[in-house]
Amino acid sequence: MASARGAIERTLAEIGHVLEQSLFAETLSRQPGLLQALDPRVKIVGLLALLVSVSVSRNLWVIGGLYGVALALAVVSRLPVGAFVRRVWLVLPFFTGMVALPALFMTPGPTLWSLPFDWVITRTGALTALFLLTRVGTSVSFALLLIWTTPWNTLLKALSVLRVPDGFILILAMTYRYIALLLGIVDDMFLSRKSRVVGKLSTADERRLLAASAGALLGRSLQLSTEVYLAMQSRGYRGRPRTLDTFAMTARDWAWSFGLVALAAVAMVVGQVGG
Amino acid sequence: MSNPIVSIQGLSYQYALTEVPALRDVSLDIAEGEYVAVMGPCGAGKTTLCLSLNGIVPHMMAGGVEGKVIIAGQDTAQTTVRELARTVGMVFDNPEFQLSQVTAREEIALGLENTGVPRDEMIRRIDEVLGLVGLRGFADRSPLAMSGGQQQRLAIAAALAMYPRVLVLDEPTSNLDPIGKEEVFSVCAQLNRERGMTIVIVEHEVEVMATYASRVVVLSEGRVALNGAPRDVLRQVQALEAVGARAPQVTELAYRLEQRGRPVAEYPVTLEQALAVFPAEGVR
Repeated sequence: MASARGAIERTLAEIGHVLEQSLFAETLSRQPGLLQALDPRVKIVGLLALLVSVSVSRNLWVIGGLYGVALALAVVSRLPVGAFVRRVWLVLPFFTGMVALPALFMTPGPTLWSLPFDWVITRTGALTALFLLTRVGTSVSFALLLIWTTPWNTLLKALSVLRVPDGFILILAMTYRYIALLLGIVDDMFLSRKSRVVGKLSTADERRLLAASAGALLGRSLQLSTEVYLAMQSRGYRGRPRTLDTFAMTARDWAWSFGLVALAAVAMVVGQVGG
Repeated sequence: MSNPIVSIQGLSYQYALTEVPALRDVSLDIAEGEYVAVMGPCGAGKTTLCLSLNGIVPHMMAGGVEGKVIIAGQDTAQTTVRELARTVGMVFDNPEFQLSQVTAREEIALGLENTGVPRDEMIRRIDEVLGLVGLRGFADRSPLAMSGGQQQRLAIAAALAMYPRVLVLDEPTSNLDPIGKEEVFSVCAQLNRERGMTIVIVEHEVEVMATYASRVVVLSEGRVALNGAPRDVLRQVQALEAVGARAPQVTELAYRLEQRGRPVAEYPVTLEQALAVFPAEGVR
């Protein structure tokens, strides 16, 4: 169904939003705060441990408690808590919610609600969906904490230090750099198209326009990726991310490292007790 | 020429899946400290020539190559692009494609870190090259927040930080406004004049090149059509037109005057030369 705004306007608005969010994340990662000040390796290991403990937990209270930890870390890192919560929970229903929905009806168990047409939501199904949603929501929150408190290059360098394969890091680095460029091109392309379109386009015309734009973008993206990569190679790029920052663990880093891993271990043990 | 820093010997190159060679039997020697302007119409092989100087051609492009390119004694076919990056600095046409870091400081550090320069030395070089290109005070600024001219100067600074002996610029001003162009040209001229850096620049601004370059090489259909001092090459108005290039406006004026029965003894190629030549010839 065509909305009040056409495909061009919606695409332009979305590009603006993505670029704004990217800038927003870089700005947050460079402001003072608890997590921002920690060694990125500590953040990766600590938050990864918490993420694993969320994934294996079979206790909703433990998952809820870990989400509380994520919120507390966001507060002490001076992140905008409202945006932090919205970013996770407003998007979650569209992706995880769609996956969880069938579980409500298809998981066998005692009836929780009876709906028209003999549809039944089971108690087991509701619990399964709730586990999925809270696990994913809490995991995404920890991932968001890492991204919002670590500059992108530093994050890549930390991954490299932690022996993540170079090929994977190269893909991440190129994607990040490349997306910004590609979005700029899409923005120009749609603005140019909009400045030449006088009337309102029908849904069919909009579909044709989007399909043609996607084809043109594919060609441009191939050209762009080559040029960006050649420019990096010309400066001796070896596939490993580098930054001027040198990583050095302080006593505080060690303390937080042990603290986060210990918390994750406790959550993992307690989480095995159903609840 | 004894011990040229760049020696191209019978270089021919054809990209894969193309019908005609991009370069055909190109031979060219460039001495250290020269400022060489490469000109020619689209498809003449200018970019391919540039890419062959830092080894991208043939290492990273699919195609067939004949001949040799020797840079400071290194055969580019036997040396990797990464190793050549220490000797040849490359600046491409679109600054946006070259800048991949979050701040100017990190942008310049990228190449230095990749070649294992110690941290203290890196910091010193970053300050030095930012000063050289007139961007002192921009170290912590995002490249995205810079003008086109500033971005291109940052790309030049990033290349300079590696202390290359040859700086190759492939149409570095094609995406810039007049102020941005002037910024880039003056930085190149200063590097050549004050540091003796060898500059190879692909540029269409023939009037500017007539002033700055010590040599002009005109390519046509992959071959060297004209090669010599600006005064010798750029005065060949007809030869330039024949290969799809153009002479400076003042040279063109002298040529047209001559065609209309007002012979000019010596064709000027710069404005300063024209100011001296035309009044002497009675042209007002």
